[in-house]
This record gives sequence, C-alpha cells and structure tokens, in this order.
Amino acid sequence: MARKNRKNNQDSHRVLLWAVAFGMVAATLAVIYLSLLNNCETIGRQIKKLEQEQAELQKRVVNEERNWATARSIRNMERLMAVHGIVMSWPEERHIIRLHAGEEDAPAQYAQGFLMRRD
Amino acid sequence: MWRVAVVAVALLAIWGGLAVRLGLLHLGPNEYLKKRIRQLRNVEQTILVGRGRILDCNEKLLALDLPVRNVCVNPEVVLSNKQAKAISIQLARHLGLPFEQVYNRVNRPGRRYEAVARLVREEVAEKVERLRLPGVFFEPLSTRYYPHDEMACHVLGFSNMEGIGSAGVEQRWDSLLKGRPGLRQSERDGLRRELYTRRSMEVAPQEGADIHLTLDQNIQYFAEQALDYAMSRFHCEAAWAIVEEVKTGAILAMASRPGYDLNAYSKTSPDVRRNRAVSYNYEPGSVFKVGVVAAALNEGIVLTNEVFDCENGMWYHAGKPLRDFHPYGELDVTGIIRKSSNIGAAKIALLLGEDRLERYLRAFGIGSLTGIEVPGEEAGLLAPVSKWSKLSITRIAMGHEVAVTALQMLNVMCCIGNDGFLMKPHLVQKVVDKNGMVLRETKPQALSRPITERTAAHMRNILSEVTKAGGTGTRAAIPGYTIAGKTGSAEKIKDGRYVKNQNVASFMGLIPSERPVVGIIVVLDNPQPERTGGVSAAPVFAKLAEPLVHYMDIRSTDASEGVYYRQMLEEGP
Repeated sequence: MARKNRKNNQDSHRVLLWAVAFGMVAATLAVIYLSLLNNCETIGRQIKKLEQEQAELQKRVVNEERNWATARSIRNMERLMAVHGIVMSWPEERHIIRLHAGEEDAPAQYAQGFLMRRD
Repeated sequence: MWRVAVVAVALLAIWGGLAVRLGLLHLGPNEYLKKRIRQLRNVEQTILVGRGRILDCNEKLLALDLPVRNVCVNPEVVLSNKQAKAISIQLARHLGLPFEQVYNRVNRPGRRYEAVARLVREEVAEKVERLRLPGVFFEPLSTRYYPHDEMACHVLGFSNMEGIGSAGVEQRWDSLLKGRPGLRQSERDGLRRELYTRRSMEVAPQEGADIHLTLDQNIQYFAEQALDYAMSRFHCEAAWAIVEEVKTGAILAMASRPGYDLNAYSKTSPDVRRNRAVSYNYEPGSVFKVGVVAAALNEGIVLTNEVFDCENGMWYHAGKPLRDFHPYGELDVTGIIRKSSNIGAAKIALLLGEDRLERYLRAFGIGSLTGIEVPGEEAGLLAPVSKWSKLSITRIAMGHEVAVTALQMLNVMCCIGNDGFLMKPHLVQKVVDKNGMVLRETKPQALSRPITERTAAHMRNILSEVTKAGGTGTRAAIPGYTIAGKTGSAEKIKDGRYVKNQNVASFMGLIPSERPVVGIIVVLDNPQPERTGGVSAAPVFAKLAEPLVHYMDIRSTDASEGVYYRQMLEEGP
C-alpha cells in the first residue's frame, strides 16, 4: 500500500486556501469599489443639485438687488411721497447738530504730494 | 433527437455570432463608432459669466446683469390640445400683451417654436410657469439692466445684445466688466444629464469686475432735474451740466439732455446718445475771461483794482470794432469780470501778450484731453500762436476763436477753487473683482499748477462779485452762500458763420467761494427766448446748487476759514 503523500495534500490545501482568500479579497475590493463609486455618484448628484440651487439663489439675489435699488432711488422716494401727500424740505442750519470726526484734509495732502514731486 | 441538435447548433451559432460581434466591437478597430460614442457622451460647456456691476460712490446700483426668460410656445402641442385661444388669453393677461399678438404666435400649425415674449422679468415668468400651460416653455437668459432707466445714461452707456459695451463706461471698461468665460469638459448619461463624476476638466470662469464710479446718484438726480427744467423753461436744443469735487477732481454728476432710456437704447438716435459734457466743442464766450484774468494777475501785470477804459462799449483794434453787451466807461479788473466787459478783457490780454496767454491757457488744459474715463472726449481747439491773426488775442480773451468742452472749462474753474492746482478729472473710483480684490483705484492727481494760491484767492474774490448785486450772474445766487461764478454767452456757429439770436449760454461756479467744495458748470444750447448765460444758465445753476449744498452739507465758510482767506487777500495781488 502506497504511503500517503502528506506533503502534496498540504500543498493543495494551501493553494485552495490562497485561492479562496484571494477571491474574498477581490470580492471585498470589488464591493468597496462599487460602494465608493455609488457614493461618488450620489455626491455628484448632490453637488449638481446644489449648483443648481446656488444658481437659483443667485438669480433671486440679483432680482432682490434690482428691486431694492429701484425702491431706494430718489425718483421713487419722491413718487411715493407724492402718492402719500408728504412734503419734505431741507433742514435749516439751526436744526442741524454736527459730529466732527477730526479727519485730516486728505485732498490737501494729494496737492502737497504734487509739490514734492516737482521738487 | 436531431431536432434538438439543430436547435442547439443554431443557438450556439447565434450566441457565437453575437459573442464575436461583441468582441469585435470592443477590441476591433472601430474608430468611427468610438468617435461617435465620444461625441454623444462627451460634453464641452462654456461657463458663461455675467458682466460686472456699475455702482455709484455710495455703492448704489446703476447697472447689473439681470436674469430674464423668453416665454415660448410649441404651437404643435397647443394646437393638438385645441387650447390655442385659452392659452393665448392667459399669456396675454400675464405678460401684458394684446391678445391678437399672442394668438398670432400660438396659432401657427406645423411650428414647434415661437417666442411669445422676450426678456421677461423673472417674477412675471414665474407667474406664468405656475399656470402649467401645456406647450409653454421658457428660455433662461441674462440681460443688461439699468434700474434707473434714463439716469446718467450718457455716462453709463450700454452694452448691446451680444454683451459688448457700446457706449460710455460700459464701452471704456468693457474688458474688465465682461470677465472671462470658463470651460468644462465632462460626460453625460443617456438622458443627456451631465455626470459630475466624469468631469475631466474645469477652468473656472472669471466674473466681470464691478466698477465703482465717483458719481453720486442723488447729485446726478439734482443735475438732471435742473436740466429738465432748463429744457422746458428755455426750450433748449440741448443742455448739459457737470458737478466736480474741487479738491480731488472727482466727477459727482455728469448729465446731458436730451436723455434716453438705457433699457431701450436701440430706439434712440446717435445724436441723442452723445455725451455733450465731454464731446461737444463750443466757443465758451465770457466764461473764458476767467483764465485770461487769472493769467494776468498771476504774472503781476495787473492789479485787481487797476482801472481800464472800456471805451463806452466800442473799441477799434487792428481796424476792427470790438463791442460790449452794455457800454461801460472805466472799470477796474474786478468790474471787468463783474460786468463781463469784452473790451476790458481784450486790453488785459494785450498786456499779457500772445505767448504768455497761450502758455497759460495750455497750462489750464485748454486744447488737450483731460483723460476722463469715458469714450468720445474732445480736446477742444486752441491754435498755436503762430497761427493767430492780429485780432486773435482780443477775440480769445472773450472766449471766441477757441473751442472747449464743458469739462475743460469746469476744470479751469476748479483749478482756481483748488488754490491753483489743476486736478485730473476722474469718473471711476475703483474697480473691484468678485472676490473683493481692488484691481484699480484712482487717486486724485494734480496735473499742473498754473497759478499761485494767492492768485486763486484773488480770482475767487473777484468772481464772487459776479453773483452779487450789479454782477451778471445774480440769478445763480443761493441765500446764505457766496458763490464765485462767471456767466458766458457765445453765438452759435453754423456752416462757418455766427448765427444771430442763437447762443450757447453757460454759467460755472464754485461753492462756497472762500473755500470751494464743488464746482458746477451748466451749458445750454440755444436757450430761448432769454439767450444769455446770466438769464438762462445762471438760474439753472441755482436750481442744481440749492439742493446740492443741503445734501452735501456744504456750509458757508466758517469764521476761521474766512480769516485765513481775508489775510491772503490783504497781502495784495
């Protein structure tokens, strides 16, 4: 009776084990890849959606800016005052209280700068 | 059994054929097919950017890109549903259009696209969209919009349908306003939706920069109101005005009439679009005496109290008569300006001499461009001395044989108001990109100093007499303020000849005269029936200046500044 080739048997088991392990790793990587791909697609769709939302909001901002600019114009103010029968006049000097910031005379400095350049 | 074998062979043959075809498609040299697929999947998008905004000095919007939509219909769908009339009624009501006009568009069998209304505002389009009308769809667009229609139309200009700046600031600053479009390379799915994950290249667009002007919307409004008054009261052919900050040269308002609606620019003629404040050369008339007298005072040739014989209104020089509007006997230099004597101004110019007169006028910027940041500026006309006739010096002294723009003339006045410093006028304060980075900033720049501080103070003192009793510009006076000003009237030239009874009338002034804050010029083209600057332009000046001094909180000179000013005058001319 021939002796059992224990070594050969062990080798074949090891190969099978490696093959299974490789298969499992490959499958896991494939699952991870698909999962990441799916995530990327989802995030991509979200970004696209947000881009569209941003564009819509930008449109609204511009429209509101336009409305605000028109509403604040002196022409519109005067029209509204006429509609509501409001008459306004400029205040007299004695009605004005001034707060001075104590700023330097910047334009004079520009003129001085010109003099220095000439020197 | 053989039947099973035949079916099996047939199936194998079919599957085999398909497998071979599949293999060939994937591995074979199918360049044409690959190219076609690439064309279908790949997408190259230009990312468009809007033009930058134009704002005034208080960050108030003057021009912006506005999202709008074209409201369109698919007549085939509408007609197949037999709803042409119902949809036309709804569209006409919401878009404010006549029913017939809309129905004519909708009722076009065989057509798939008809634009019912173009450039419809977003809020109106949204209302129509909410109706969910079958066969109605929208095209999103962007258009240039000017919230104040006609305001500052000649300064702002407009950008055309292709988005190219075609006049005013829009044209001059087009390269910065328009920005640079971006580019995106990507792929799309079967439903033609872009796949974000397949974006292979994206060049970010560069948004157009914002232009911040020195104009103040409110002062611009005062100027335009005053010009509208001038147009209706004096039936002028045209009128224009400029308000300049004396110390910096910043233009606070620049208005012209007739004006036009910037949102409907195509309906106006090129002549109406002309910015006369910088592009209209005219003989200035008596306002020009300001430069001549300033030069003579600066040279020490005359004193303010020096008396000249004004020859009772008629004087012959080089065999030709020179007349005054009213006859005067003896007048001192102050009187010559106050009464605007042509003979007096001519005699002063003769004392000054041709060469010095020309040198001073050129130093004041006459005959050269100011460099203002709008297109179409004219340089005026000042011939070199070599081309002057014997009469020229006497005619130039009274503002004839010379042509200026209103901006040049105002700059001379502001030079007197700014202690002799001639500032470079500017309209653009700064240019800012979308990230808030300042790309350009205009700093006030002194171009020359033709006259001394003392001469300037004397000139202001002389010119303040013009708006007082006995002066030619009393109608420009504002209660509580001293105004240094000068009137001007010159006959218009048509076909090389002076036209009687047709004048260009003007008034320019500094407020307040002792320590000026702003300079204003008003020019009226052919005012009727009153034709002189003192009667027509001066009251328009007052109409503009009165709200302006309140708005800018300009006070009549306070005690300390008055002392300084008087000291300078007491030092003598």
